[in-house]
Amino acid sequence: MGSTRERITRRGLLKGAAVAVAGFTIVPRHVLGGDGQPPPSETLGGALIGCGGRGGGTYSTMQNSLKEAGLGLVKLADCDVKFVGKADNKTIYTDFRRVLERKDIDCVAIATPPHWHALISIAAAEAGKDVLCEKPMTRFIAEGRAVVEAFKRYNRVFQIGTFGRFGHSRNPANILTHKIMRSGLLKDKCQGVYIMQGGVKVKEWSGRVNVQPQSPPPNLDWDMYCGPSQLKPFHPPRFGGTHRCYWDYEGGGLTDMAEHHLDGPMWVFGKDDTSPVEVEGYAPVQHPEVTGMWGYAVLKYADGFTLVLASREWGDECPIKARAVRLEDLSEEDQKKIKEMPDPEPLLTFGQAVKARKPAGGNMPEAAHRTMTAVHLANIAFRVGRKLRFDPVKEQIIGDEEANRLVNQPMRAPWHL
Amino acid sequence: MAQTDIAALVNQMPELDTAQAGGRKDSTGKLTGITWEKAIPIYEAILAAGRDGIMAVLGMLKPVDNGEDYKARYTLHGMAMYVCRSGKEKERALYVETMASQLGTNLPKPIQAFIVQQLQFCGDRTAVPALGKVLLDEELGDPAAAALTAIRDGAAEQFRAALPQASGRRKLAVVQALGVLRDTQSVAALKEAASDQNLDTRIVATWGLANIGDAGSVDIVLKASNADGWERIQGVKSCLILAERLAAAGDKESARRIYTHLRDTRTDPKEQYVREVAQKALAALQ
Repeated sequence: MGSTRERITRRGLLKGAAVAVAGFTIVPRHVLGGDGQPPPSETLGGALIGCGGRGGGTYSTMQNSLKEAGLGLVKLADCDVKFVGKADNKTIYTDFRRVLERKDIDCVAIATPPHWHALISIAAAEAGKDVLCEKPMTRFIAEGRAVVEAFKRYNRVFQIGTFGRFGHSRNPANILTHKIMRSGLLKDKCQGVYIMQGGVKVKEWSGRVNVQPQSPPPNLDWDMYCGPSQLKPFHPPRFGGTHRCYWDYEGGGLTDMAEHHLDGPMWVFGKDDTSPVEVEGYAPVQHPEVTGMWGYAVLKYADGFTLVLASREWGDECPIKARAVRLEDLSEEDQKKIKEMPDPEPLLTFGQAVKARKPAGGNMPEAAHRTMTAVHLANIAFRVGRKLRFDPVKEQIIGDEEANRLVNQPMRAPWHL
Repeated sequence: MAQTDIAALVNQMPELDTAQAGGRKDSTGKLTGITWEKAIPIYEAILAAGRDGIMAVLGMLKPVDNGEDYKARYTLHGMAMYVCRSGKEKERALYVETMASQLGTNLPKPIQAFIVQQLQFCGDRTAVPALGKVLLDEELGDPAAAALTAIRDGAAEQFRAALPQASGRRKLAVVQALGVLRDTQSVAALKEAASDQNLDTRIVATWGLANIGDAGSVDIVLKASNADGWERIQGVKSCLILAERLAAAGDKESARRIYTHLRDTRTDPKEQYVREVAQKALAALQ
């Protein structure tokens, strides 16, 4: 694959995902219901939790993916903390727990602010639902592990709402790189360097520190909105799209956008089940409440592979140069082994995964968790202002107890992992 | 060092953005930040002034976080991160002791909440008693619980001490923290809380017992799994967590009892997924 960030758009990602499922969507007409619709036995109940911003799009993505797999979806519930005074607890809710209690709901699209993503995903799995969750998957690393464990425990399907890997995984050059990386033949001598350059809206999604607190609007359950995060005085930027600018709810443009940009490359470079072992950040001192500026982070993996996250919005350019992983990096004998390796299995879309009761996207939610782990480690390095070593198995920062407090952050009761 | 010098140091923190950026009209008020290279001499100078230096910065804080005092907040937070660096143990002790000493005083609660937040980042065992003092405070209890849970070392003792006097949200937070910390000394208290009138308290207490892996709590989690709605879903979760912990500890018989119960009672087709989890786990126990 190209050594620098490929131009990725949401439309392109969705188109890529749709193409990926094309080979699996031919359903015999006799199994379809009237007017080409799926029969009732293959029609699922759906709900959208988090109805602002991306909500409608996320739900449509879920619906389309299921449709491509020959499954119908009937929307039974909308849930949002801003529905106070409007909720009837029949089709409109303010509390996601009431939605998840319903036995007629099979699939849930989650498009709340990210500090709720992991908890609601986990709760949905516990309630037997499959989940399509907007990116970013998590607000901190331990949340991701808890999501992985929950979906494994309950054997539910999870797909993150970004689809770069579907397009990447059909590109022959990417497949070759993937096979080299997954073969283990490079051992710890991988020279590959992938640089994600820009596209993370760092300044745009830095927070304002001079906003006057005020009373929350009457239609908003502010306590429920804050949820697992500390209950802070309301001011408008903390709610709506600018929630991204507060550590309480997300982690700035890096957390918000990097999962888009890295979803494909992490598959290509075989990093769906591991994490960096070392991370160093280049950033100014961060603010306690609002997310801010940063230059770049250098993340090294145990096999020698280097991931660079570069903002191009602050400070000096990263001096590290991109470098592709090449077949020639291997001995002739090992090159032959790679050429004899079968191609990886095509990735299942959300709809296909629901139908087959198998993991979506190759290795979800583990893959999404590992992508976000790299992103969170970069933000932790920016925040603590020091180089970190990370154990990708224990998922803990080594020898830095205070930095680990950002790996697993306490939640406000009654919310817990 | 005189307070005016401290004020001058704090004032070296950068001004807020005034230009529009990122194509948004509301970018005014954003903070580009200061490099560590420029910030460290400022932190060192404040720390060199000892307790008085830190107190002088604390004295600049306003009760309302509306940006008026952002330089002081930014300075104190940067220091909280800086003193955790290797080799800065003396400075950390000074910072933590000074900050913690202001809890439970007549400082406005929002300022104390800011202090608690910094202790969540850099506090150690020495800050634990001070944080314990405000655990039952309505405004400071939740952040203090978070800080204590983050520090961990010595925290359970504070939660245990607070529990008998705790009620409402404070009780909920304390009960949850004891479960998060897997405090085996709190099993009896958590068992009592597992039959609390408050639904959330019951759920977190039951989960806490499961998280601790208490073999004597099998009947409690089974009872919770027979409830309705959200409590039923969370009861099953507690069952599975406890069974996993017991099996891992070698108590396969208790784990088998939990899984068997779930296998035999989840007869609704919509709970088949739970039955399947139990069946798979039972097979793995063989």
